Amino acid sequence: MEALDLEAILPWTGPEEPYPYTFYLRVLDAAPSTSKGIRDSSLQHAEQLVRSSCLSHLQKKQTRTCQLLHSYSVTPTYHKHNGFCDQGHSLIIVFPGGGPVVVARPRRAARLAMAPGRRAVTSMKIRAVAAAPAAPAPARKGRCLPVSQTMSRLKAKGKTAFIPYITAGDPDLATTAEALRLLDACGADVIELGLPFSDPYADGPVIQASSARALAGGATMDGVLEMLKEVTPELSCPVVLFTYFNPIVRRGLANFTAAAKEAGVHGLIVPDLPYVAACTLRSEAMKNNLELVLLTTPATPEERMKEITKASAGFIYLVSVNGVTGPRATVNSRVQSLIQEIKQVTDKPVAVGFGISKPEHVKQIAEWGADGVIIGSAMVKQLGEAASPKEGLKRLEAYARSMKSALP
Amino acid sequence: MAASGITTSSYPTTTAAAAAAAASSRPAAPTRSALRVPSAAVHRKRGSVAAAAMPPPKAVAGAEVASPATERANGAVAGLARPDAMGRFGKFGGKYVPETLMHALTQLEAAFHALATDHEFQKELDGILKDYVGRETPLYFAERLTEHYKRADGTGPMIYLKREDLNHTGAHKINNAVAQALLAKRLGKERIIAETGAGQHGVATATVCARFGMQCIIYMGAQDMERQALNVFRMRLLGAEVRAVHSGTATLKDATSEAIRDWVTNVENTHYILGSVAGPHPYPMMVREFHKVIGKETRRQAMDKWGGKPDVLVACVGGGSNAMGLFHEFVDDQDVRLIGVEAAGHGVDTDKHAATLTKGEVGVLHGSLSYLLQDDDGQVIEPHSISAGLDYPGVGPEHSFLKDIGRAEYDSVTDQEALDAFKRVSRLEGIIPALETSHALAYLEKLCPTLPDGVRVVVNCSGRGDKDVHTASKYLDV
Repeated sequence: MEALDLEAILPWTGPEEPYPYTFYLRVLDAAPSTSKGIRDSSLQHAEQLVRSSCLSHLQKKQTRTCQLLHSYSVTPTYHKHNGFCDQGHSLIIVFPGGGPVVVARPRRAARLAMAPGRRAVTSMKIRAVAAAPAAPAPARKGRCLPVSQTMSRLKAKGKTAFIPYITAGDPDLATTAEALRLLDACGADVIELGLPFSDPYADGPVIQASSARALAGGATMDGVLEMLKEVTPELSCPVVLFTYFNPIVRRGLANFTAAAKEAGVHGLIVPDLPYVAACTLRSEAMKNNLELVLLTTPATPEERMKEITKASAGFIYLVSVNGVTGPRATVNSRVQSLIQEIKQVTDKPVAVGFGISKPEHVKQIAEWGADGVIIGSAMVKQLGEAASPKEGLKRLEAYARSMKSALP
Repeated sequence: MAASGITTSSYPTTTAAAAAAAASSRPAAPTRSALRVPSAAVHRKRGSVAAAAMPPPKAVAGAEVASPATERANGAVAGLARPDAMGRFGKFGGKYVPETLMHALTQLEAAFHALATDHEFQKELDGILKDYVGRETPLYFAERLTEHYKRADGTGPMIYLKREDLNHTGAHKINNAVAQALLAKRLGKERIIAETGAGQHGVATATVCARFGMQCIIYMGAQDMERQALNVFRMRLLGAEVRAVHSGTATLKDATSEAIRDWVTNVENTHYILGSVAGPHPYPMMVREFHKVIGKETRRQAMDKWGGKPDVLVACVGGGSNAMGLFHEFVDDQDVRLIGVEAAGHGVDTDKHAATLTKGEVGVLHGSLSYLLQDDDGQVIEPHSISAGLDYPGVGPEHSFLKDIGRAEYDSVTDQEALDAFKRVSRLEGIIPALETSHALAYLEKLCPTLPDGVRVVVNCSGRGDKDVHTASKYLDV
């Protein structure tokens, strides 16, 4: 198997060095190459891609200017931001926006690269896939990708992500755990899980009532995270935690993000933390490989929308209407132009939320070019209005399948 | 106990007097130098203790020289030091709201600053405050209340009431409501929403909306609507729509949440007249600026009446607008003691109180970082106070700042103490104070025995109590 020497792989020079395999990857050409079918590709598929696109790019390095595209860090059990999904002892590097896929395995010397001589170029080999132990396809349980990658892969395949929301602890955490598994099985691409809060002032009546039920049922942050710790390893889709800012402040930003990471959470959405105030949480989240998803709205001026899209991780959350969460009869027609405006300034995936409840809504939004649809109150209703948790789960399943099948 | 904060060993000469003050209900007169609390600010300048004892005319004159620059007109702003550009008072304040509202807040802030230098606007506002609201309000010497707090030897503090209860609609709240309604007109927003607890802010808002011909929707907790039935009727009579809020605890915090939800939904044609120095920036600053006329008048009136400054200012604190309105003018006068009084409900050691600054922890609610009554999980705790206007789990961020830097003191009084003061002030002065105001007045019981002879205390008589008669009649045997 052909091995590539990459002198452009450098050891980490950042302030912290927590991982055994951490490095910068330089590639020569930032232009995305084709990557259709990545999501379901086996390792063999990845190998082909490495050969056909990635290798040729990398081999041209000496004749073209090097450009730092992304920095990654990774451990064999851990993924960080847009970069890696660990497959046994090998690493799969997937570039956001459908760039080349690289399958790499660090040499034995890799560990030494962490030693004090930080800037020294490490001899790191990037190998074709066959060098790696055979591993199942990325869809393997408990091996889900980060949110941004999940979204990018779907986008590359021309699919629209199905992102359901439910409130943790409504009616109880056991049901929530079951619902997470169920939604995963129904084809959820990302799941948004709400931490119940006493004063959910960005939410409409359905989620307000749901939060109140969850709190009355004794849901706590620790309880929710404990549950997630058990359930997330079984899921093939990433979980994004939706929480108001106060519980985070109370716990402490660093403690909270560390606990969320520990629980297997991949991203955060904080509805009352606008972009300008999000800086500290964003950096804490990044330290813990959590993607902080930012929201943009019809009332957001273009200048700030640009800043938000730049800073948002995972995807851009486009709020479809001025207002609170909750089903509406029709989708705001401005969404179409809003999606286009965002797409003009970013390649990041855009998911639309608020007020979406019917198959025709999601069809419409997908047609308008959204990369994902977020369905909250309508999901919560299925669980909340049922006579028993069992019936609620049944309703949730039927509803989730109907929405999923309406999506391309 | 307030007395516990009166002295430290740094002031050996006053320790004995204060100890005596604490020990006896009618103690010998404490010396004037015992007036000051040992705050960090004071420790820095021991000389200021002496200054506090005998406010020198010079210091007052100096302050007067400094103030005309900022005293352009009622509600005007100039050279704001607090908050900073991010809307922060120290670490407190800020803007923690859904993104949908960010643009409206930016617009509001810009409009506010523009109008601060707009003479036409200021003229209009001043005219309305004078002829419609009835400013200025008197600084009234409460002779019998003063008599009541005299010690056996005939010494004691002098009590003055800043009569905000004499404003049109019966409370200070209209200062802000009038100004914000004018601001909304300038912003071209014809639909007004507001939250209300006791109903005073709701009535003030409904009043100004009637006056300016604007649509008015008031959110009020269902429980508060019951407690303040009279004000609900007044608002409806004035043409406002009162929407009952049943979610959560059905009190002020839920009304505020609901008002925010309305605003998020209708932000393009609606202005939210927030009624306290709480919420996201620029509200804490803006509402303070619209109420600072209270302190400015007080300074002027004190100068006229006794040629000096007040020594102690006392005001009740729920969100904290009347207190901020009174305090703001004097924050830089280190020789003026600032005391905010919160609602202790059944007692601060029970789970039924609203003493945010006394018992709260730093958190984020309704748009700003401030002290907040919350549990270990960051869930907001249901507050309790007999007075609907103080029944709020948060507090304005500037109060949190003033507390943390030691510039203002905060204490609390219980429902029962407030009811006693409600009755006492009614009987002694022929003034029925609001139950909110009664908290500030009740604090005199703790404060006055510790004060030296002749100290001038100004209590902000923030509202009148007609609205509370129904509630009080359940508890008081008269």
